[in-house]
Amino acid sequence: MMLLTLTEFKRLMLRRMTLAFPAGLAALMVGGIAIAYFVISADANDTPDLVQDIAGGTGLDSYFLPIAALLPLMAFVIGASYFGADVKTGTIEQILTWEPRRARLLAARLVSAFVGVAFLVALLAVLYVILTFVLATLVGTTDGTNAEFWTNVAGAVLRLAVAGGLFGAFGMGVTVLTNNSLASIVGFIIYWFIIDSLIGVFLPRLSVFSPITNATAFANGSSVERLSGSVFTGNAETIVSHGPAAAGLILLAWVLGALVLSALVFQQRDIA
Amino acid sequence: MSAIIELNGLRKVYSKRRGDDVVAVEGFDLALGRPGAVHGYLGPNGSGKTTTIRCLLGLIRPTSGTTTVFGVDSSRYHEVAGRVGAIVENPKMFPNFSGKRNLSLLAGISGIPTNEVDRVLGVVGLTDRAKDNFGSYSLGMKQRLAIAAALLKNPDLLILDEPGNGLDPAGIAEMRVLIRNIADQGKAVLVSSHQLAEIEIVCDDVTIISNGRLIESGTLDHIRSFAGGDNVVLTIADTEAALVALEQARIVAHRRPKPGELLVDVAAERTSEVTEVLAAKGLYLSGLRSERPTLEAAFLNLTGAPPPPDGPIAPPGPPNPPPSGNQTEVGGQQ
Repeated sequence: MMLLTLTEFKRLMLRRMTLAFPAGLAALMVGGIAIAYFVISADANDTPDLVQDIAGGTGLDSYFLPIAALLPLMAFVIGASYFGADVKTGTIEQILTWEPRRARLLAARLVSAFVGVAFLVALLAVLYVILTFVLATLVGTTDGTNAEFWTNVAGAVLRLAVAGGLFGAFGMGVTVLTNNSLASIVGFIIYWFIIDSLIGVFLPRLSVFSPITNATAFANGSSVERLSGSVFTGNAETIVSHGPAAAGLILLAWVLGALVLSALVFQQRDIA
Repeated sequence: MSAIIELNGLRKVYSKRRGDDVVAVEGFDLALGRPGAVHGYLGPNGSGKTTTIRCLLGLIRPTSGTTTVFGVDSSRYHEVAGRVGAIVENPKMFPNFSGKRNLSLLAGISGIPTNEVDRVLGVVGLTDRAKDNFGSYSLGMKQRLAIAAALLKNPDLLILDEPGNGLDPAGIAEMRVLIRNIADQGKAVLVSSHQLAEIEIVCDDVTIISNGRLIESGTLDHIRSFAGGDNVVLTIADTEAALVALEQARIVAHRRPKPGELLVDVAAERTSEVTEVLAAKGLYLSGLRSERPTLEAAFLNLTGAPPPPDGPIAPPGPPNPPPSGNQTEVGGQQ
């Protein structure tokens, strides 16, 4: 099992998609920070404070917002294409003649997807922290970056990595079900940007179980909130549903649900 | 010694979304495979060869019946997977990985050392292209890499599904030598193909299936016996007149795809009867040779398929009973 998992991890990390998407995001971050540098440099009165202006305080309320949407998407796409490529090229057939126990193969891939994607997300989050720190050093101030701040940053990076790893595993699980990575990715984007928002408006009690909402809350260390009352009658108010730990568990439940279902389907599926 | 592969009442039905089920394998018993022998698993496209192999490898589940490899049911195929190397249909590797990297990743699953990867690349003659991406390979090179992958485990049983697909004549000849060499090392080889002439050269035993049904199985000579006896091929200028003359003498003859040739259903020792009949009509031969019955002829007789003018065999109709005497129509066009 260890050999299989190590081989699968290697296979994942050697894939073009696994390398290209994070490299693209890294380039975007560097480009974005470079633009910010020139914009801020042009205004002598603008001297951003890393802790207050960029991170939103020691609680990091807004620190990772610029990359918050891209990291889960990247994680899902990498996870989805990890399995989908095998379906497309037919290599799953080749691999199954080497390891016919499908549950073991799926478990090895799950571990690989989680660890691999979490590692990549952590790397990108750390890169983002470094870039913002350099930006603040060059054109602003890093005053207030005390031990508490860095501890919070480390915790946030860790949570982002775990959430990313879970989204990677989720993407893989969904693709085992759909047998098509493109369908999984398009479905995920539609759910995220359309269906999830509609549920938030029309079915607020259900929206607190959204994987997106809970992933965001878990990664940010914030609570999940929902609307109480009706937006149409004007008496809606926001109330706290649950905290970040519960959000993490709900996200985990989504991932495990997808994986159990995908394992059942994959076990029965004819590979032809 | 018992056969390496056994099929017991194997039946596979593919359910289509629109309700039309497709019966890929009709349900038959078969035992095949022995060390040091090449077994040809033959049939036209769509006859159920690949479905059978996928059932053997546990890739698909039989609708009913069982398959065993080395005495182990395919539901527990993992117990013998290390002894079986297989290619199913087209070579399937990652196009953006090099040939060597593709093999290394497979080898890693079973803890096979890297030098073994280099060895099998050498066996199939791909050492020089090992670092090139699989996607840049020709179809022949892809087939060879797939065989290298199958050989990586140093298997006791090698299953090759249509290994000659896409290969040029030189590639097919190389493939035959490779297959024979593997069998000569004491390994059992199962080769599925629809190219009978190519397989005939290398096989010891043959199974013929058609439309998902088992037609016949046995040694190559046993299968060839269904083609009838020896034949004589005549080369003559006026084939029409010769056909009429032979028919009047109650000698069965057929046109051959090659112009000016006739296939006559008589043994070589009765050639003089033929030449006498033709000479009596003023018809003289420009060539004459005897011809052994071919696997293709046997196949056509067994399956009742129309003989093709050239190239791979066409999908046949329902199977016919074995032929009798030398009244079978072999190798010619009606």
